[in-house]
Amino acid sequence: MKLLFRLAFRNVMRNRRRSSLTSLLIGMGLAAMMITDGLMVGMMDYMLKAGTGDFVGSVQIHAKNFRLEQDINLTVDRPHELLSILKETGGSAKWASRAVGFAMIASPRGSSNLALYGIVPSEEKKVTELLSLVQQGQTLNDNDHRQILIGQRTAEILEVHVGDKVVITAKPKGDGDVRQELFRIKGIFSFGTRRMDQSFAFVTLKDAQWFFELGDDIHEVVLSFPHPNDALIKDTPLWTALRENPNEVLDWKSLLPGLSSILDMSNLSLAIMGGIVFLIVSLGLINSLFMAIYERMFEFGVLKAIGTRPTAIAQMIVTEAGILGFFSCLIGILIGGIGNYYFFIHGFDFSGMEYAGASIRDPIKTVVRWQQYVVLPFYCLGLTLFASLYPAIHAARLIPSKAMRKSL
Amino acid sequence: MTRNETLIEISNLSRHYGAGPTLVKALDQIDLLIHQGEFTAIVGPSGSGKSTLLNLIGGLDAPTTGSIQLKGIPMNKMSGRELSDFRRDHIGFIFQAYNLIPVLTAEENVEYIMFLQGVSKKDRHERTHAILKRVGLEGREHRRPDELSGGQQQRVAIARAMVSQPSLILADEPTANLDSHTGAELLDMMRDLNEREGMTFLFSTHDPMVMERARRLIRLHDGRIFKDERR
Repeated sequence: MKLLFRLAFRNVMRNRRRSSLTSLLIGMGLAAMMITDGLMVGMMDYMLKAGTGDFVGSVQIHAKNFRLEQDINLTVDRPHELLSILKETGGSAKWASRAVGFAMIASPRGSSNLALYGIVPSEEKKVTELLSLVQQGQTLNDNDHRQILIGQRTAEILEVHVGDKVVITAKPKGDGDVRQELFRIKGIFSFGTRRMDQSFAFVTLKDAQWFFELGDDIHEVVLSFPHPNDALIKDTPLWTALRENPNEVLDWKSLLPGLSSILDMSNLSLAIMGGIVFLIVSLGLINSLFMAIYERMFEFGVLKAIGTRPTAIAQMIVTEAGILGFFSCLIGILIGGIGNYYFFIHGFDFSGMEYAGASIRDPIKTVVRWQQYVVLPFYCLGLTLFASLYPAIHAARLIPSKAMRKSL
Repeated sequence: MTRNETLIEISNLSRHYGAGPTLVKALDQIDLLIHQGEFTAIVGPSGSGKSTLLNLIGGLDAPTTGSIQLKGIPMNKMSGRELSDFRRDHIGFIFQAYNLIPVLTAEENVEYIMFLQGVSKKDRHERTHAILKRVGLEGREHRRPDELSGGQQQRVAIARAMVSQPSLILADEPTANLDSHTGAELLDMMRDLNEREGMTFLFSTHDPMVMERARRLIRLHDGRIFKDERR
């Protein structure tokens, strides 16, 4: 075995330029996969955190059918009991209560429809990034009264600025008449997407309960976890308790089906892209090995003539591919590692883009994970060995007399 | 096996290439017996079928019709793997262009067949050094083929062919690429090995030096034996 390995190793080293170029080709393929993986995982992570962290949260709790009917009368059932459950079993989860109703917002120069949310700023800060998105003016405080945050797009439509007054018109809970109230713009926020910047406005929860005549009722409780995917772990005391609660509990996959599908598709596209990269690499490898075989046809004839079994010839080719694959992995890990580290520090600037309903505001940074350094090289090596089977079988099947004649 | 026992028995052996109007009969219905310990040369003009016959005897090619038995074992019924093992254990090859493995040293080239046979490292080492000394390559064990002259490479090839003590050594134009002095020297060495160890040598050649030293000359013409003389 040692002599066979030595023979294979020397065969790889005999044409150093070709072996180096082949290793570089395979290594670059691996590096491309490592960086793509880092970027895709980074992007998915960013999208998930932005999609859930900006406003939606990882879990939302509403009265049954509220999300479907958007009826202001469908308030959270037994909210105090629900909040007690969260306090007892919430663990690392944070939560914030909200009220919401549909309203018309108007200024002397325009009007628009939107969802008016009542929030508790001190709670909201722990759960979402919402209040940090205020670009002009100031953010809300728990004790503010008749102060409102509106989106950039709404401000443009209404042609208003911070400090201006707007009129909110809406139908409160119950059978009451439509009511109108005056609010002063305290801040203008921007999610980075026109749709979001036109669809929402925020007041304090107390103001919303007063305006919509809700009493102490709320429409939703939003939860966040250290990582959004923690919300998907369902065998926790929190989920066990919530399952027995009469309200509807939805995780981010149900709240953001579009994002969930996009993330699933991203995994698929990563796999497809990996497949294509590896296919190109393996074709390059097969080509290179075949060139080496045709060059050494005579030698294979001689090796077979002097008694080398066909399986040993195949073994030698596969070993050569294994050696090439090993060096390729080292090259790939080095280049991929440097590339991943660079983009981990500097990131890719996609700011201003919107993807799956979430806006990209910061550079997307690659995520470095152990799979890139273990699983991908393992696949790469496996693929190299697999790709070498065809040339190996071809060489093993050579008829010695023909092989020796062909090369003359 | 002792001298004069039948080593190779060839019956009705033909090897044709192509078909129809392009049919070439490289060998045509050959019958031949080679005995243990012979030092035989197959001679004839180019295209007479010398190398084809050697290839068929060596199991490097398959006949169109007929059979070859080596030590009573029919070669045409063997699988690829069995043929490889058979060649490894019973046949040594010496080629015109030496055909050493370029990435292995002289020592490793000689050792290679014993490695395939599963001989222990110690035995391999001892036998390799002994045979390299015998063919006059002591001190050149660690040189690769491209660091050796043509004559030295052919000595390594002879050592490689003999080291596993095969029943038969097939030599295809072994002196064609050598100067006459080196060629004569190597032929004398092979003749000496034949006489001392009873190894059977079968040459295909044009070289008068080989013909002079051969004890049996088989003359081929157009794929047929037209003269078989013993001396």
